[in-house]
Amino acid sequence: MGGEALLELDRVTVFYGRVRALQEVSLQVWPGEVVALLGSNGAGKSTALRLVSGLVAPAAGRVRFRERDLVGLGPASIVRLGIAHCPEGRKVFPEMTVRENLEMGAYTRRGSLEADLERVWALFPVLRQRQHQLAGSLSGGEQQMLAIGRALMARPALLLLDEPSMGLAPAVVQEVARAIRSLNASGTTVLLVEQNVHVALRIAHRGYVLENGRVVVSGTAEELSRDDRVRRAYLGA
Amino acid sequence: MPGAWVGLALLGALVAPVLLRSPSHQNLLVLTAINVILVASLDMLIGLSGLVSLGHAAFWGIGAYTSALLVMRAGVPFLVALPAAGLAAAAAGLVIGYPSLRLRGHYFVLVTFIFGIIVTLLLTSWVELTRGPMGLPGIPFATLPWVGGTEVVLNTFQDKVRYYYLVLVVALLTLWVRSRIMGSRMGRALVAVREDEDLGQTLGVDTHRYKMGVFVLSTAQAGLAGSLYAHYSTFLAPETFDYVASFDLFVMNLVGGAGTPLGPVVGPVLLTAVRDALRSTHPVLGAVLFGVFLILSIQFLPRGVVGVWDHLRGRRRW
Repeated sequence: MGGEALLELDRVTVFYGRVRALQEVSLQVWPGEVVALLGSNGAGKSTALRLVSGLVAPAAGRVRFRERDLVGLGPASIVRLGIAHCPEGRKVFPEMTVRENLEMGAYTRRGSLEADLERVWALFPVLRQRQHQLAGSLSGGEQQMLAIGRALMARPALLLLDEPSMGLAPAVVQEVARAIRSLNASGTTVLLVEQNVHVALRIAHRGYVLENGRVVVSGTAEELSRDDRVRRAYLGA
Repeated sequence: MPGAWVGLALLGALVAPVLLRSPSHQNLLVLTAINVILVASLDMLIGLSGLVSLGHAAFWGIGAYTSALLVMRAGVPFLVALPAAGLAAAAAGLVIGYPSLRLRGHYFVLVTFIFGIIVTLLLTSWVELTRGPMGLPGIPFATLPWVGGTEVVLNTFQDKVRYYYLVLVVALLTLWVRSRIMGSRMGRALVAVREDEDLGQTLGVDTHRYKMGVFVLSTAQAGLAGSLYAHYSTFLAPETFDYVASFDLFVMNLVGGAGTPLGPVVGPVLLTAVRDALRSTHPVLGAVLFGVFLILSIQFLPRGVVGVWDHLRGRRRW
């Protein structure tokens, strides 16, 4: 692929205390792509997302977004640059309504939110019906939709999605997967962390497999689903 | 917001000194209004932002001693000492808040609690300045400069009504500021801090900045309450502002209803009145009953008296 990468990690190392969570990880996300980060628990997938959104700082290496260095910017500035992070565990503000949760997603910018709300309603019609309910009263699947919708309210160029299918019923997983493809088709680039490799490889164009904080395999979704190591470890083949 | 109830409460506050004419009742009115300032400012931390401070009375004390000493030692007029008391408490809030608001949960509670103990120790041991445990007597009554050149004394031991209205104005301003903040962008950010601070940060909310802002504002208001108290009671002692006092304010906040529109009014009114009634009828049994009342209300009314009312009406807190 030509042109410039939207997001580039260049030999990044991250420590949590004395534990090395990421070790010399390099990866690129091109505009328009869905890229999956795969791997087991503790492989460093979520750390990579927290690194990009400024919640953890690297000990070494560079993080660039549109050729601009992100290290040291802080989460608020990074959201303003066009990166939205949808954290794992379908986190919502339980005592705010659905609509207020969505408005919080647009916290870093001012002006009318109507068009953005319409976009979220179109993607997840159930949220429009529930807009005045408290987010804590939603089902798990609806909370996940709300969390994704809230991230979209920031009008991100790059959406960081952490485990969107975790703990959801299969039918709901399908709906979330459909929504991710649809928002990608309308121009949002996605960096996706998933433990459900079947789902991830169906949505993603490319993927990286992390083990113990290192990239061990990378390639297109098709290459990964044929890779012996991936098949043995994650696809149960 | 239940507008009719706010109107009724306001009317009650305005006519109260006319209906309650005995000095002891009017004394309770002034003290209740001072407690409303303290609890309303504390509620911006506890109810709105989920920041539990167990050192609020220390900021109250810093304001009280600042104001009293400025008037007594430096001859500063009351109208200058009042804002100075707010500034002194806010400065302390800034110094304590900047590092401690980076801490989460129990750690912040501990820092405020320990700060309260340090302030009490300072007030007790800095005898040259504060007269320590002997207390600071002879603080002048509050005065206002008058156009004719003579000063107007706002309160005496016999006449508390004018002073009550002054305190009421400050209390209403405090409540107004609180309700304005709750409906604002800053208020939304602080609710995010209360509900899930990490998530708020993820969405780009500069949580530390807003926590600092609300903490400094809240401590400034506690300082104003301190000045109003100093020139009312005319005597200050360190134990008035110790950790028991901080805990009292915390309890008034919880019993009234943290985060509810009228909670900071209901809590002080109820507890000041109930405690006084119990104390004057049967001191020992009264103290025991008061303790039982507190335990029951914290056990069964997680959102206070106002919370029960809202629950019955199907409302949620802000």
